[in-house]
Amino acid sequence: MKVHIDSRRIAPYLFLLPFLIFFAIFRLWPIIWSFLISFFQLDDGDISGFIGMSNYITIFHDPTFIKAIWNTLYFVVVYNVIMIILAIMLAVFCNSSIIGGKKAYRAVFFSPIAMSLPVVAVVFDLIFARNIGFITSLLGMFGIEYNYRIFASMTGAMWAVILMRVWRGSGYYCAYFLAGLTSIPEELYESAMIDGANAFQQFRKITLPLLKPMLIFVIIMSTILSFQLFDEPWILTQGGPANSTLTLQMYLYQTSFLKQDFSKGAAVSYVMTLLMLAASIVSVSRQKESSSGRK
Amino acid sequence: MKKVLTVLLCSMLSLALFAGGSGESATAESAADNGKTKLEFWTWLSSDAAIDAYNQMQDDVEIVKVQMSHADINAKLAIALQAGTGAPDIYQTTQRYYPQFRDSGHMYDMTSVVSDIMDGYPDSLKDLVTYNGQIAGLTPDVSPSVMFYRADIFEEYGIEIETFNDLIEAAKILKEDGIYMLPIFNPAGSWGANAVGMLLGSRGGNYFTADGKVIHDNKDLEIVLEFLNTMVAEGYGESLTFFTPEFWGEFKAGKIAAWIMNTAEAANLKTNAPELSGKWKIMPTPRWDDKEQALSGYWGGTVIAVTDQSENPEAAADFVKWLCGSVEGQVWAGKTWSAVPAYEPAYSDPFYQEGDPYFSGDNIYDMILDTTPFHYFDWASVEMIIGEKLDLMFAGQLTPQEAARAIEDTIAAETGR
Repeated sequence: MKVHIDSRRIAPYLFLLPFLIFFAIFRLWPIIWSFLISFFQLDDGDISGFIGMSNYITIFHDPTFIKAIWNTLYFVVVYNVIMIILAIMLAVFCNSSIIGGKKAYRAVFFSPIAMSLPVVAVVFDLIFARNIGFITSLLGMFGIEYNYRIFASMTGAMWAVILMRVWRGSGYYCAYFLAGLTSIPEELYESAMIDGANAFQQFRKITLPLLKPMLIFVIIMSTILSFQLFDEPWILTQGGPANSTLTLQMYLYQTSFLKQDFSKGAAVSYVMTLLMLAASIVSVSRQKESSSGRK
Repeated sequence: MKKVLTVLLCSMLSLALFAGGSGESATAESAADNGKTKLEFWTWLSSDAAIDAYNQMQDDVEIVKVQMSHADINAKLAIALQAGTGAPDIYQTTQRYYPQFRDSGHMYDMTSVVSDIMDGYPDSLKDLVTYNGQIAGLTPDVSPSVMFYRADIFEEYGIEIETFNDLIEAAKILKEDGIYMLPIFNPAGSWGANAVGMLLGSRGGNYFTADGKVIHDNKDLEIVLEFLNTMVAEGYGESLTFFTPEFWGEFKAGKIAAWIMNTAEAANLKTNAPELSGKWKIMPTPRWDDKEQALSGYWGGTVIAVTDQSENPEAAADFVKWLCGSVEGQVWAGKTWSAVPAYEPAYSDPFYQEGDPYFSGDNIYDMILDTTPFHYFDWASVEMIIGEKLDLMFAGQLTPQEAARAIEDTIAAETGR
């Protein structure tokens, strides 16, 4: 029997084969494997016994895990709201026709993202330092004494982390919004001005609605990344004081690598995945709802 | 023809990609350019000079240092040992985390290589590295506590310290001029459990009994927490995250007058505040006022071991034996990371009789007092629990007594000890 091979049909799949093989081994299989081991006991790296939902039940009974969820959600919401508002404001500023030296502003706003996270953490450590820091020196010039150690404060430490992230992220996402703004036709603003719309009305009725696709993209990307918050609090507070900056990613690290409980760690990672998925779905659906409501 | 070429090209691509990660290639890499067999050594310490000295004596092997934090070593090693691949030939970890690797059964049995030197170690360290009757590692160093202090500040204010109460009294005077007596880990993080443990040790106390049971109603723990709480609440100690730029900045700015810490941090101090050379001196850990004898607390020290994934375990064990179990290796450890020798014959070397100009000529080894055994169990959990309770105490939400009870009860509940 003669087998006929249609090269034009097979060729694309053959070219894709290297990627597919690597994707299956290094992406797909770890995802499946980690899901499986979250239901099994691990003994020296090998599955030794089915334990059902035990890991999931255990972590949800752990107050530290609940605290980590709360901290993470708090960070995700507060950080994203502040960062996105600031990023849009920066983008509108950079896109304004009355501003000179836009390229310089863009470069300055974008530059923090080029710094590595540990370096940013170190810089902010020195900004906030109680006795030798930038804030102390600045306020000292006006005779004001600064005696607050923010990283030792259970209420202040998370805000320091949020500020750090906002400083680093707003310029980066500003670049996305700038790309969105340049795609808005100038004629829309001209006709709005003829109709008597002021700058705020133009922003609300033209800029924001037409930025919506970019806004959704930024929200999803930023939400996913902010769920993975780890470096800054780990360097500056190790999750303290009293777990007030402990995030899910840090809890996952502690569980998997410090306590070496990979099975429970896998369960934590799947809870994280579900939370990220839920947050993204909620964000997108709310954006879609508000878009369709306007039509 | 075109069809055949397409299939061939794709097949070659796939094969080439897989060949990149093959074991054959990895084996080829293990032979150094100079023909020597490379042995990978994971450590976080600046031990290059010691490694270079060993390499120069070797014709067949070369130790290649891979430097990463000890947290990274623990994390990567845990995965590599469980996965059965990716572990180094040799690694160094802290004594408090070592038991989890020792008990994994994935350490090379070094007994035949090192049995002749084991008499040079105290029993507690021999017990630490022994698993099922086999020697599964060696200790290059121990980390007893001393007190580093700024001689210029102490002299200016006429401070003389013998006991912990003296520290508090002197701190009251220094506070008036904006100087803190000690840096205090706040937030506590993983440092908290170790620093409290060190102070506990300086009282002869422990978190656990020798057989791993939590000590309840631990009066030593209460007294240590009371001291730390006083330092923070009264503003005598400066709350800092240890080893951040702010931490070293406060030292350099002359804001910190003293530091009760393990001996290994002498090297850290010299590296991060070289401009303070000659301003520091060292004294033994102060005595607790309710105790007759002053003791050094214990921070933990380190262990170096060979994994069962090493293709040249005997050669790897020879290096570990040289560094941890020979006078020459121990002197190199002292020179490179200010190691306090675990191998007792090393103290006979003149190196350990010398003073250090950075510390105004003081010899750190002369400042080490007797220690009592300190017991480590489930240390990752212990660090997290103690860190949280200390933070709550520093925030005024727990009294020292309540914090002590909360630490004991939570460790017992979480670890079953």
